[in-house]
Amino acid sequence: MENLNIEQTKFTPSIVFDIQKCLLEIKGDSLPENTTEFYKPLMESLLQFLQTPQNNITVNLELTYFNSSSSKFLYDFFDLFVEKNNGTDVVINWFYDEEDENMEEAGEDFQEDFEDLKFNVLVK
Amino acid sequence: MSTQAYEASLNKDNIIFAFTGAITYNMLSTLSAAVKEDLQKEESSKAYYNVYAVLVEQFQNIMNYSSKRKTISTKDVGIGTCLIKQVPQTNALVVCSGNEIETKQIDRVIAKLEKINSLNAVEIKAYYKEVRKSGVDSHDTGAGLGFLEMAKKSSAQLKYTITPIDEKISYFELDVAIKE
Repeated sequence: MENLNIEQTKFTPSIVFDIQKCLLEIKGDSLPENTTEFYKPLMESLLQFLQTPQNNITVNLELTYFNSSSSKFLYDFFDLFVEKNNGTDVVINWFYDEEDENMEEAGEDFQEDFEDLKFNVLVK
Repeated sequence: MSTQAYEASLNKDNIIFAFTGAITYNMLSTLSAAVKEDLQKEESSKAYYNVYAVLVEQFQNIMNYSSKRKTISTKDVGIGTCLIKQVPQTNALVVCSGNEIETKQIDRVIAKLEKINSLNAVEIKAYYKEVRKSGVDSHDTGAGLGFLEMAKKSSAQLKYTITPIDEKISYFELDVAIKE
């Protein structure tokens, strides 16, 4: 499996998936032209990663804005860790800026939806 | 109408942003970001963020669902109008959209909006999460969460108007108010 390294743009987040370090990071705004297409490489890599039993994975998210189709993507992304997980220990860290109520609330909403995951909502 | 008269009419109605035409992804992302940067100077962080988030969803709805369409560099996009109005009386910024819609789609759109307008803020949040989870409204161009996303950000009900143009086509307007 190859690492994934997608650079941040004004409207799309950076995506770094370091397979050896078992670390996945998404940072920035998410308003892609086509959300499914944009996140397809990530979803494919992650699916492959989760199917081979691993020790652990840490997912760090530092989003500042996401549109409604990205909101659906995020739900499906977190859901993979539940539905397609073959014994990987998962920690998800949702970071938000102290003054950013929107991203704090968004993180808490996902936390409620995924009670079975180790889902932390943390100030940056 | 001269451009000067047009500008004066916008000013008279407290319209701080106006766009009419074909809405491409590049246009909607760039214009929304410009509005956000402009409002950031004057509005509270929650207000400018909410105006931005609602404007993006309004533009995307026009791009994806307007029945009046155009092809721009191989992309099929919708034509419509977006306005942002200041309403001093209610201390709100209203993000408005308008576009043509096929009359046969009207019932489906009204049902969605009426359902949302029958809910309070807590219920809207719960319904949003339910639709996001089930993916029932997901399709090629989005998650079908646009109206709900706007309702979450709004301080009032989603105000809509539908005006028949002819047998097949109507004009759909949606106003989303955000407290300053």
